[in-house]
Amino acid sequence: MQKIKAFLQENISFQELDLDHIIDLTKQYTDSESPEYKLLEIALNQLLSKYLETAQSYIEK
Amino acid sequence: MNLIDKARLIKDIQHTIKTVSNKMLPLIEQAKAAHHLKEILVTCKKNILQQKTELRKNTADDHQKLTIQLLRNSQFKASYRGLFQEKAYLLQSLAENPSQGWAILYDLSLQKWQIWLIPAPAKGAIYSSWKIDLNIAYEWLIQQNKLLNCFQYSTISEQEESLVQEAYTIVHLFDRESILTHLHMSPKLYRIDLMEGEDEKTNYIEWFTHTKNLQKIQTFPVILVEKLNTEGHFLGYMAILGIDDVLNLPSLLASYCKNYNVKVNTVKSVQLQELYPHLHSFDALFECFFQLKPILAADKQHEFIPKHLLSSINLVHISEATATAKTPVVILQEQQHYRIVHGQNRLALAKQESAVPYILLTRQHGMSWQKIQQVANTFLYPVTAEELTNALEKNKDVLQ
Repeated sequence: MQKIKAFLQENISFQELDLDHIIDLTKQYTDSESPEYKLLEIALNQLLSKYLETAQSYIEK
Repeated sequence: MNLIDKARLIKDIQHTIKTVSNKMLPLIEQAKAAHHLKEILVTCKKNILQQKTELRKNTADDHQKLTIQLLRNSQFKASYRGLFQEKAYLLQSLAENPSQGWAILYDLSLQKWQIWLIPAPAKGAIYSSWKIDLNIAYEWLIQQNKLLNCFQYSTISEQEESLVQEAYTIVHLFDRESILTHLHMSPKLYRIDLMEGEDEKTNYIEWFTHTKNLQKIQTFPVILVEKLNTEGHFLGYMAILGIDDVLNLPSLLASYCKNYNVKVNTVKSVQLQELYPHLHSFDALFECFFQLKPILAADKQHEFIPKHLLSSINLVHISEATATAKTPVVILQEQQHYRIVHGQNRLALAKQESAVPYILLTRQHGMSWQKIQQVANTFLYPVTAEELTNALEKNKDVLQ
């Protein structure tokens, strides 16, 4: 969770996050009212947006 | 999409990007990965677009509902002039009747409210700052009324008072709550705002009524009118309810056009129950309009067809004269297709238009591509749509 927070605070880039670990976290925190779930949700939305931008740039190459 | 699926999708994108960018892999693997990446992008864009549309629809619904709730309890409802999203239309509505009145402006992008007020007859309008809450904007109106005594009707003549009191009504139409707004013109006309989001139904048809009598609204034929801007570009259909005598129509339409700086084109009439099944899309509305006969004699004018219905397959080569907004596209109907015979220059002008004027040729009258080409070949210069259709008419009586 510390890395997630660091990513949201823009202290680390999105490439530095371990996606397998994030998948494990999403299995662990399933209560949509919990602060961990909300943090994950925000982080995943930002991550998806970053990866889609990267994918778009590869397609346009 | 739940969080696990989202995380797995991100992992999939990450893996696919690595494959696309790995130059050591066979080209076929890279191509497959690129194709997969494109599929992901298309699906994601579609979902994002859908979410945005839903959001917009909800917002449109919400701000109308909030307005109706406010008006139900408002002591100033008699002088209400309407809810607007465009400042120009709001100003137009206030200017049409310079006696006291107020209106609401909602900015969809800011998601903020503003109230405009004419505090006294023939005085200029004043307005609140942008508020995030309609009730806060309404508080401003209450304050202004206390300060300026805006809504004391004793100084207004009886005629003006009746106009003001007719400004706004809520009715149930098509099983939906709707707002009737008096447009303050003669002959009388009300705009109907149906309580629903900005779906296609409301994008291509605007509703009006000449009367507030619900029985007349639901039993008299609907007058369907093609509405154009001053440049002759198609804006959509007007559906006018409650017209008991078509002799009133020319003056009503002339008054509307003058007030709103628009033009009207072909005018037709249809029973409400016949029109109702065609309201779900622009194409269905066009097909319904197409089947009807014009009811007002007018100069030679061409009806409009949705541009996307035109099939680009063209089997003749015609040197076309330059086109203007009034130039019709000549089309040949083959089963369910509308194929362009003459109109490439007109369509090149229509980048921003949703529909274009047309002249229709049909196969039923013996028309064929060969005959069209033969007639077109007789012209030694770039030919206009009218010249071509006149020549075809002389050769065969095929034109509708």
